[in-house]
Amino acid sequence: MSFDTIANAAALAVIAVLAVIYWYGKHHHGSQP
Amino acid sequence: MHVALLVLDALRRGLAASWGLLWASLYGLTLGFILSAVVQVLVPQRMLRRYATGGLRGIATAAGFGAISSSCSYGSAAVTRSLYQRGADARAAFSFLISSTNMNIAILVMFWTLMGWKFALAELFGGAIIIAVVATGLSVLFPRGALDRLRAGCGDAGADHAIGDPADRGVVPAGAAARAATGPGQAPVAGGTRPRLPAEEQDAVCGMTGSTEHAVAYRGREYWFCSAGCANSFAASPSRYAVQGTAEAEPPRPPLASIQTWNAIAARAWGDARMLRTELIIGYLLAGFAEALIPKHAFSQVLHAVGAVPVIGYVLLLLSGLVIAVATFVCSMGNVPVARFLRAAGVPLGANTTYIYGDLLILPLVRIYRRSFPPRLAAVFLGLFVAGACVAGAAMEAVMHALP
Repeated sequence: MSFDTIANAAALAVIAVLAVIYWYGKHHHGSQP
Repeated sequence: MHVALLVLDALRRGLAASWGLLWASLYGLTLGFILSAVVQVLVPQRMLRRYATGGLRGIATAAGFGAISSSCSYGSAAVTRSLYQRGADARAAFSFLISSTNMNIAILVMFWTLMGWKFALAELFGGAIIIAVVATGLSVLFPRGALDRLRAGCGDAGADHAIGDPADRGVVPAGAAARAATGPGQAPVAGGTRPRLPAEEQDAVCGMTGSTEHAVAYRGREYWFCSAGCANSFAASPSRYAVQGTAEAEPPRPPLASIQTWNAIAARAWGDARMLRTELIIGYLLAGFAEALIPKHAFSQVLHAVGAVPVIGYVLLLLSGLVIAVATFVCSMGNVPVARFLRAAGVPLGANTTYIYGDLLILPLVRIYRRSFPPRLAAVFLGLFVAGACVAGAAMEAVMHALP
């Protein structure tokens, strides 16, 4: 497995986590801190 | 029918190359946007103001931050934009930008492995030369707080235009303010005839408690300082300290472990990505189709012809490196394989390094500069960067030829 593949998989995982956090904040808190 | 097949094949190859470039830089892009968001949400404005200054230390610190950040030009441009809009000195912000795309650890390692230690060192010290040229040039061309006035005119300090009295927009130096004091224990008042202004008793430069002995009037407000040195620092670039507000106006640093903090970071990163999406799409498609459809060997042939021009051939060669970068490049790490090919084709080290430095001159990034900085500042930066890249390329070629 190449470095690009591993690094991009990690990047996509981070994006997914942030997207969930963003979605959670938007729908459960209504506003940004 | 045959033409249609050729066009379809060209489209396929162009899109495939674009995807390849995106895949090769996706993690850098992601890291850049997230780092930018973290900087905007977590790093206190006071810290940015203190460290990203126009002095040598501030410029060096910004370069150090750049070296450990993402090497992706787009992500770095987003960080640079946020640094500048958060009050950092323009020289320090540009130092970060140049460092993050030319002196970055990740790209230096890539250079070392693909191109050898000479190219890696040329990239590192060449970046330092460009930073020196840009910072010196900006200091010479924008003396005596002109950079801060440019920032205020850009809209970062809207209060500049909100106050009608021209005297309120200027700074009364500490000495003059002190002379205007109306009596013992009373705060000096600009002009001596106005009513007492609201006072900031905490030194806006060092954070200590200020006194009326060292007071400065600025935008309808008094700022007290602990010493004449702090007052003079404030007078030299007041917007750096005053625009962002005083200590009580500064929001507390959000906790890193809070989900609300990361919610804000995610929202900020998403906003930055949306802002830059047009530039990103244009950049990747342009570079992908150029990579797929323009034969690389043609570049080296043209460069050899350019280098053969009498007297100015070498300068043209250096500039050609920048032109190629503008026409082909997406992100710093993506051009390393191309640089390796150019070296194999006989392109001299100087032109090859200017090609690598030229990542900051690609048209989508120029559009971002124009949207992020005052137009005059962006134009001067681009001019100084071109000059600095040529100086760095020539110097590094001379030095590396002298080395074993």
